[in-house]
Amino acid sequence: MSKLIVSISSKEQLKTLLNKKIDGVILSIDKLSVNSSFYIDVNFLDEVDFKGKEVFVSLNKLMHNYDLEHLKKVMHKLKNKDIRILFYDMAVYNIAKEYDMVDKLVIFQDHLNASVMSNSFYSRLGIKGSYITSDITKEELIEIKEKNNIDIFFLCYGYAPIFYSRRYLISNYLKHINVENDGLEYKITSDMGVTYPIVEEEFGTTIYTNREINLINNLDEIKNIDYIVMNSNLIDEFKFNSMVDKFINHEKIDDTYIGFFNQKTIYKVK
Amino acid sequence: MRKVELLAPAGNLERLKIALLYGADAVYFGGRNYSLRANAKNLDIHEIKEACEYAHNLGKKVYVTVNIVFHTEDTEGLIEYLKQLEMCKVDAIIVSDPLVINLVHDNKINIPIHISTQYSSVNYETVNFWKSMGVERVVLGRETSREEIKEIIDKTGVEIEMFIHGAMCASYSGRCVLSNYFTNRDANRGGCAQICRWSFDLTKNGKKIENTTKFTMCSKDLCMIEYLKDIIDIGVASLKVEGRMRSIYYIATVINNYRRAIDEYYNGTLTKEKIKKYLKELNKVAARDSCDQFFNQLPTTKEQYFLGRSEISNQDFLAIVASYKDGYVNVISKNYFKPGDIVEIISPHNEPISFVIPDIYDMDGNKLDASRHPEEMVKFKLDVEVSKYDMIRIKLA
Repeated sequence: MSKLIVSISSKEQLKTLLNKKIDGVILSIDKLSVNSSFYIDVNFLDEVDFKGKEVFVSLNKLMHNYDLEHLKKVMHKLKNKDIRILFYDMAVYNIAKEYDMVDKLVIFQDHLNASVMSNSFYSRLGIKGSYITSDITKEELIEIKEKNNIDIFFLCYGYAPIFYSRRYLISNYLKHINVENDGLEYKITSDMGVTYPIVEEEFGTTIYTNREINLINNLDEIKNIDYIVMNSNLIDEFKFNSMVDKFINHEKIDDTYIGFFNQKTIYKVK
Repeated sequence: MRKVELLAPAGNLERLKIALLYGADAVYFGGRNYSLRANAKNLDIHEIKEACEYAHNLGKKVYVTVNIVFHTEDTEGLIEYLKQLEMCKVDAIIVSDPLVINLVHDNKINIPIHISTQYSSVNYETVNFWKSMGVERVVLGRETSREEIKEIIDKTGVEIEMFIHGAMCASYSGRCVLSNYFTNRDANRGGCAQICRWSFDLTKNGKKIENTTKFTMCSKDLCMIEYLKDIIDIGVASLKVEGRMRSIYYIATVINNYRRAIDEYYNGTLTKEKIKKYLKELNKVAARDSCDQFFNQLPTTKEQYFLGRSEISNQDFLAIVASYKDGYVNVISKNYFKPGDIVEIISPHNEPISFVIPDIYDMDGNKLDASRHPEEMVKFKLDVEVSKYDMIRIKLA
């Protein structure tokens, strides 16, 4: 049976969700993670009673040289905590190896980790968990799980990032056309009329899927996946918390968007 | 001091030969399988063998991209392919999915590994990780600055390759799957539809921003000719030109100009005036405006395009020399030209030479009023001796 973990978008939401029958929470560390609307200082972890639930911290930023000193300090503080770390950049692995904490790591590379053998590579490094890309099918996901001795994480609800740039794309554009950058929420719409959330943060710009991926009706098909993840980023807290209840109760709902769960991408090279 | 490598793209054998002839020290290309740029013709295994033999005879190197993000089904046949590349004696493979590292090591395949820019390695800890995996070279993410590159080189000792010329991804490489979600084409398996060059409406707080200029992520191209000295001085090992799908004229021009600049840097004759001249030449074949992107600062509005997709079709390339005999040059036509046109010849070894197109003849000796058809062979009298693969273009203003 899969465990249910949720990413957190505010202190209030953390308090609310810790009282639900979830198995864990994901918190994003300030300056070292992206794609969140709530970032914490690492010391915040000491202030919270997590009520026995698993705690995951996200260090999913692509690290530049200037991030490394802070990263090392944060990882040193995490070393003796009962947490696991979602990470993108292999700098995190290299430091974890030095600190003897590789077993806490969960590789989380958005779109780069899509095969049985790729996961074997990380498994052989001693990494114990892998958050798999949303760009693969159910069959591919299940095969990765079956053929690897590694905990598999999969996004089952929420917006998935589909583009991440180091550039300040919104600011640059608005400056170019002389419009003030005072918006709280931005979206782009293609000529085909499809709208995608776009968010500019301190470390660049991210575009997300045009709808929340929602696999609530498909959970039985992936019951061997170790962790199903619900990502609260960009979703109204009340709506998200209600959806958490539905996931806990395995309710069925209409009109879900399931991304590539049942559909292969094309343009294969063979 | 080890001389920096000039690394050129080669979408097929013809481009490979042109790139090497015009001064590249090494070329990179994809095989028919496992490579991004699925729209490039790419090379089959026989052509890869031929490419290696051709390059090695010139004392030059060949790198093959095996740089898709593999799905499980794509890994079928991969070991055999890697063994074939080893037999072809490729000098390295460029990979983004680390599963290839395991396969190379587990199967004792003797091919050096370069980590692709697709992995976006942008710090020294990550580069040191690759070093510990036995990787010979890392192609840095294009988001690195001069200081970052230097620090990475100083703290790793790993060979560092960086892009110096050509088109840019708007995103960190590997972190864009817009193609997947917009067109179902898999960006990380060679199907990138360049969605970042599309135009969009931007809405702020639910309201569309009305402006004649639409939102785009499109970036200008990269051109580092003005910073060549700085790049070499900080210890970069290889200078990479983007463009496996570019024309032979583009490759010849870009490689030739960087070749001259690099050689002049080493023999102490590279001047500001020469750089200015090379920049002018490079701009002439550019499809877009170019700049230094992340090298000196984080890109601002100046490093982006807000005019939508605006690529220039280059009509300057008129013909390529097929042979020269008895004062007549046989050329393969590429664009329209006629007697009286003022043109110039570019070659790997000489400065451009200007001349006026004289009477043109077909291969049966019939006089033509113009060369009208691409790929037709025509000839004309020429007093200057030229060589196969020299190119004729409209004279630069």
